[in-house]
Amino acid sequence: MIFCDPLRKIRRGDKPGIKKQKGYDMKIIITGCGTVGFAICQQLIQFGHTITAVDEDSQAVTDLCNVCDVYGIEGNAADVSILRKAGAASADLLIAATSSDELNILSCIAAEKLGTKHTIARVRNPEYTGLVELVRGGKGLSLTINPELAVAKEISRMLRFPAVAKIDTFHRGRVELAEFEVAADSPICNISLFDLRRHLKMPFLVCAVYRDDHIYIPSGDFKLRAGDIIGVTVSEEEIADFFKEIGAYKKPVKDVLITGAGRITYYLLNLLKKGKIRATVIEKDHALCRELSESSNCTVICGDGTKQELLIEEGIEKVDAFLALSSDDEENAIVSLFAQAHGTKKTVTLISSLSYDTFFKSIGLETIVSQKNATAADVLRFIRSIENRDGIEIESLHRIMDERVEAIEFRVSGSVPGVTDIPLKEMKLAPGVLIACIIREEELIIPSGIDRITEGDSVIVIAEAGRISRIKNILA
Amino acid sequence: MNYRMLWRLLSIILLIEAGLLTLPLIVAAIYSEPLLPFLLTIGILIVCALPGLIRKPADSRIYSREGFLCSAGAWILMSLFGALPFVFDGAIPNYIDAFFETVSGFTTTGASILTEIESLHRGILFWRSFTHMIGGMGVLVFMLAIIPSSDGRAMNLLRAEVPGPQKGKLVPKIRQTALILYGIYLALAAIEVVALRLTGLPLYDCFINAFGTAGTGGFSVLNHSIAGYNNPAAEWVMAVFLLLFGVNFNIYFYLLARRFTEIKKNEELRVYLLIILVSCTIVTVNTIESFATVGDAIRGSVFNVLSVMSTAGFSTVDYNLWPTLSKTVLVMLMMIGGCAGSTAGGLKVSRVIILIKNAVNEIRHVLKPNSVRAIRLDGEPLGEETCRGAANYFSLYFLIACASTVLIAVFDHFDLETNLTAMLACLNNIGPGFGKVGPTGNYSGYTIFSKIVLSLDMLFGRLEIIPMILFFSPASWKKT
Repeated sequence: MIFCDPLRKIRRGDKPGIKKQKGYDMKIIITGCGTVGFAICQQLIQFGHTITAVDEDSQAVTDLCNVCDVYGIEGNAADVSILRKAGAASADLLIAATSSDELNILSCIAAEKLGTKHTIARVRNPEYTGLVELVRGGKGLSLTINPELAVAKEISRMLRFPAVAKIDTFHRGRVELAEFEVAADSPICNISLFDLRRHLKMPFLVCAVYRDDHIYIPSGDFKLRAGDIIGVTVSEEEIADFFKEIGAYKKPVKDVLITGAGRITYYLLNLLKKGKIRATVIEKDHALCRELSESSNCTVICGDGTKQELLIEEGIEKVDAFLALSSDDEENAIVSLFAQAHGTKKTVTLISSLSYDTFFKSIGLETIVSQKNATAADVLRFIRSIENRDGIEIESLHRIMDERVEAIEFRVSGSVPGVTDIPLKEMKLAPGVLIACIIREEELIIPSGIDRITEGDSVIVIAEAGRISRIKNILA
Repeated sequence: MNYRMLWRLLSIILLIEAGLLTLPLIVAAIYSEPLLPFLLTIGILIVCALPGLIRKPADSRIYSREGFLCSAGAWILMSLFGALPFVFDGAIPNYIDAFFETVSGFTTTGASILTEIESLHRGILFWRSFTHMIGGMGVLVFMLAIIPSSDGRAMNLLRAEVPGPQKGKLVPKIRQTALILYGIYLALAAIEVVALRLTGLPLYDCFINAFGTAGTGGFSVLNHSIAGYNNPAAEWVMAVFLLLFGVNFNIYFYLLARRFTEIKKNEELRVYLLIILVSCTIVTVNTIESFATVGDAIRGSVFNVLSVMSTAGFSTVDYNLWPTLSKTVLVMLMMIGGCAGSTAGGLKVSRVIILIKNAVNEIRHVLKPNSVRAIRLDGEPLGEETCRGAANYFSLYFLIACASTVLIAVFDHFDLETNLTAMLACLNNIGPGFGKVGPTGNYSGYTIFSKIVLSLDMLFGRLEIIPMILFFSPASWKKT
């Protein structure tokens, strides 16, 4: 992993330089070593946490232990003796990520009773919303994660701005962080960011640039090139204008073609209801088709989503977006490539368990979504929040540029020496850290050297993944 | 096959060895003895290690194959370089002899080719015994304890070096597991040094004997081993620590973590203690006539039984002269060895338990062909793989034992008792056997060829055969 400021380039293969902070080592129990559990585990182990993994399948445990430095226990995740063995009495956090909602809720309740400080459950069935609320009230559950819902939300955000590869929101949707590739004929090429900002006359900030496998936190004299992947923060009202100005605007999606009627499709259709997007869903399984048609008023086609004729008949060449969301990764990849070859404007591919991410990108799949990455940011945000004991809350955390860069929104509710009430130019920021924006009383400020952070502000900080867990960490 | 990473790991090991050589260097300085042998070896080690350390390979992943090859390679290299001080000093002029002595040290065997020990330099003798300390817990475990890594693949290194059929971590992190193991090891050794000092042994000898006990090695600085001290209190202290170092170190961790139920249900510990109790009784009753008093008989029997069971190989009497029953008991104990996860050698008590249960199961299976029975250890069912592993290990062990006995017999025409027990004493990391290699004899009579075979036997025994077989099979060095 490479992360550098514009003046300093670091060779490939160098260490990421994650600084381990004091008190950073948390005792975490992860139950369920499936795709999601495995991914969360791999993410957390980098930050030096002490992890115990529990799964009923001994092979799954062994596979995980062979790759990550974790303690594996074979057994039922809601078995109190197993939880005790896993150290639930003194654990800081339990993440229940098995494929069974009920088991997850049960193990969270059990762990909490045994003395685990915080619990996260993966709950996917919407029918359990009430139950979760009830359990949460009794402090049995700190957070629920729903990877499928998270993926659906991610897709629905993308459909609003087809020009971007990924878009995240901060401050209850007021600020957007868009990640997209600079096109060859774009007017923002070969002009310094300083000039670009004067030229555009709207508050925005290019906060990270990904070029030749290096990540740059650009300064004012940085010049963008075609092919760069950039992350831009801009306010919600102005994002459409911003894309119009730089000539990358694409109309919001009006119709989509979806293959696969799984849980993600179900959630996505619910989200799309508001946006007046017409959806056509192709699904092989008749019962699933029936179920979907009862809950949503989209067009449901019962057929094989891998059949070329069917896809063309349903207008794969004409729709604004094609979403391959079936449960079969290989099928999704092939069908998406087919759609791209046929000129579909936007394709989104669901890759649930395969690990060929970089390869899929290199062969041209433009947008890949996956359950395992969608919830990682939520879990990380939660963990960073419980690490913070100084009253500074983390409102949101997003990871961009292949999970290498983090954008974290802090709510500054108290004064922090060295950070609050001093002009930014006098603040001793650590290298590779950027204050992307300050939100004061619903007003978005793209900060310059004379601005200062005051109590009550929300601040969005951009930094290398894993570097920042408290606002203090931004200082050198 | 990640050659670059393997090379790097081995270079780190050599550098660690150079670091460890500073201790005998200090001892030599204290006794104003020649420092050159150590300085020269340290220099050679650093020169050999540096090229591998300059650049970190881009791909640092190691799999189980690299783990096994690394452990075998590390032990062979360490012995090859560790033999140099003996040659430079002139204590053991022949390099093969020095190699034998060093392998014997690192593998905590304690088999010696030296006939006259007391006249040698103290620094050299310190190094000779210090290799027991290094080899006891293992140098890869030491490396894991000092180098942080979040990669679970590093477990492959630990697995290849810690003896026993079941391998797991004590705590989630490998590094902490390694630190805990070393912490327990060093603390116990330190307590022993203090205890021995209280019995009136000179400080230098306290250290030497604590090293020999902690690693369950058995090198001593007197020609007559522990008998030379004529100090019953010291013998009792050492007997107690021999017993302690033959126990699985996980037990001490559970003790410190106050997880007493885990200790209570530990079958291996119970069987280990039972075997010791039974053997001590048999040997005491059997040998009582050869001792002056009953007290002497108990002390002599208990010390030597523990010394053989824990595979250290210290001696207070010449048990060559004992009745056949006692000698046979000792040979059996040689093969059983200590507990898994201890510093002892041999087959390991838990493996013997599994083998016996496996055999009983097989007989039951013949009786009722359709019955399915799980083998339990510590009350928990064992995976089929562990059972199969133990059975296969035993067949490999038997093959190696046969092959090396034949090889030794080709050039050396000693009696069968000598040859057979020499092989057993080396393969099980005890040291002295019976006959000409008994407590009063040594291995200097063997030809160079047999010494190499026996050196390899010691390495086979310490690393539990498989890493060494992999190291010498061309298939494991292929690229894919």
